[in-house]
Amino acid sequence: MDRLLARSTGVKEFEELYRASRDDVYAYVATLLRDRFAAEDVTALAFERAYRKRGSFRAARGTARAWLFGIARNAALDELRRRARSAELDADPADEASLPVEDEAEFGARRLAVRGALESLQPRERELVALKFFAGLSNAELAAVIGTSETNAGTRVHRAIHKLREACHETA
Amino acid sequence: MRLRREPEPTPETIRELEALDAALAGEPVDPEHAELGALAVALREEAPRPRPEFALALDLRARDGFPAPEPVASILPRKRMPRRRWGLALGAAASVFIALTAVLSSGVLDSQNDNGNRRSEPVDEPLVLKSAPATGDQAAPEQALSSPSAGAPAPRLQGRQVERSASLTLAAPRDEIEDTADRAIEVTDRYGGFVMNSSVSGGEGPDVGATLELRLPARRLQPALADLSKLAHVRTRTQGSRDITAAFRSPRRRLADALAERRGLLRRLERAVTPNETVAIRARLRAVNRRIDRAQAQLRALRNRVVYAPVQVRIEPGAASRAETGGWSLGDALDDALGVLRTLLGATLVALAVLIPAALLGGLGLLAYRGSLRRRRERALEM
Repeated sequence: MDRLLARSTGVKEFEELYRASRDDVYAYVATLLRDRFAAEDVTALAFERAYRKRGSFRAARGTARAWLFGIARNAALDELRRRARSAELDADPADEASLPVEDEAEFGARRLAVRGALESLQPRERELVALKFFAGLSNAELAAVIGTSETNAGTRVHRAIHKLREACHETA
Repeated sequence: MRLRREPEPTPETIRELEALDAALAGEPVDPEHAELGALAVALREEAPRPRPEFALALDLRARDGFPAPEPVASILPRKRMPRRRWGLALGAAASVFIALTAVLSSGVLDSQNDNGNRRSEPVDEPLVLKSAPATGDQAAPEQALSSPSAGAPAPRLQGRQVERSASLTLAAPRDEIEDTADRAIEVTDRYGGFVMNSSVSGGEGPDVGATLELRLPARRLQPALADLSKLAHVRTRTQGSRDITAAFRSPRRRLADALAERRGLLRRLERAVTPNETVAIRARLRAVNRRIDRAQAQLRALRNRVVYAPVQVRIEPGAASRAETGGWSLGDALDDALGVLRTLLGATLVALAVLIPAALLGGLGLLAYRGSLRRRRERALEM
């Protein structure tokens, strides 16, 4: 798909990328913004930008998914900046609606602990978790998105997951 | 983005990362890392999922090729000028800048003004001769000129009277000597000058050539010479100037003396009583008037030397005409091609002299902007 997208900049290849990434991009953006409706707007915006810029994708620089998530990241960070400028909110409350809606009865102790632990992470760590576990990016793709080396990305993911595990234990 | 360098991962870290990847891929995980694997799976299940209605709406937009969004969401950034338009606008601005720079630095505007003057002045301000007794082949003014430009102080240098002169030797093909002479006369007319003498010999004889003695307004001598020089290949071109201020003194003094004497004679004539006395005074008046005329003629001639510069144009057979050489030769083509290349090279150098610094500045500005934007975005993540 990457090669096809790079070579043809075709609509068909982009559709394939869209289908494979729609929910992942949304999950990542929603984790960064913690606002369902803002996440929807930014997700749509990211795909529009990616669609317009599909000709600029270069396979040599990384995979199509890494390229797409880079665009989504920029759009989300721009939204965070815009919010910081206009609203000056001290802290955005987590939008509970952005989390999976399930029956209370289905909540196990572990899942509650995981959610609690996620909340305790720093935004950068939460971003890493979102890219790794929500979007399913490889360490190399993750590194390309956040602009670091693959080794650095792996180490940071490792540190975030350990922090998360400790937070889970504390919550439990 | 923090450029903090992380330490190299330990083997245990690598194993744990591999366990995470395996768990996410649904592969079996080493029992030692089972808890980590379970956490990875639990995390994946915590991924926010889009609302079905949003997913459907986005699918439809994807199917339509993501048409431009309607301006409903305030969350969307302001519509910016497309990059291509920016490029076009910058390109146009750069082109205008380069063209302006080239035009201003080449002095074309100045020369165009000169050309405009050359063409318009003879029409707008025709040189009017009060009287022009013939002294050569063609009529030439020996009297004072009434045109503002004729009496213009151009050749004067802070009250000095300067006579200018020039000579030009042109080389033209044998069969074009008469045409070249005609065009030289046209140039002379255009600048308000006149031909004192002309001699043109055409044909195949040894004395073929043309000699023109011109008088050109001194204040327009330079552009006129430039136009004459364009008529054919210039072999020699000389110019000179001579201060003739002193030459004006004697006739002016004689004129003043004669005028004073005439005034005295006229007063005496009024008081004359006898016929003999009257006759004698009248005779002296006639003599004084002749002296006045001579002095005035001398002054006019001197003034003409200042106002009109003598220019001698000699047209000699020299360059072979295209008819003689059989038209446009390979050498001509090579010369023309080299000329074009030289011009292009010069224009390219001028353009590069502007574009390279502009591109460097633009590149630095772009890098600075991108760096600044990246930092601001990363800061937004920490808010």
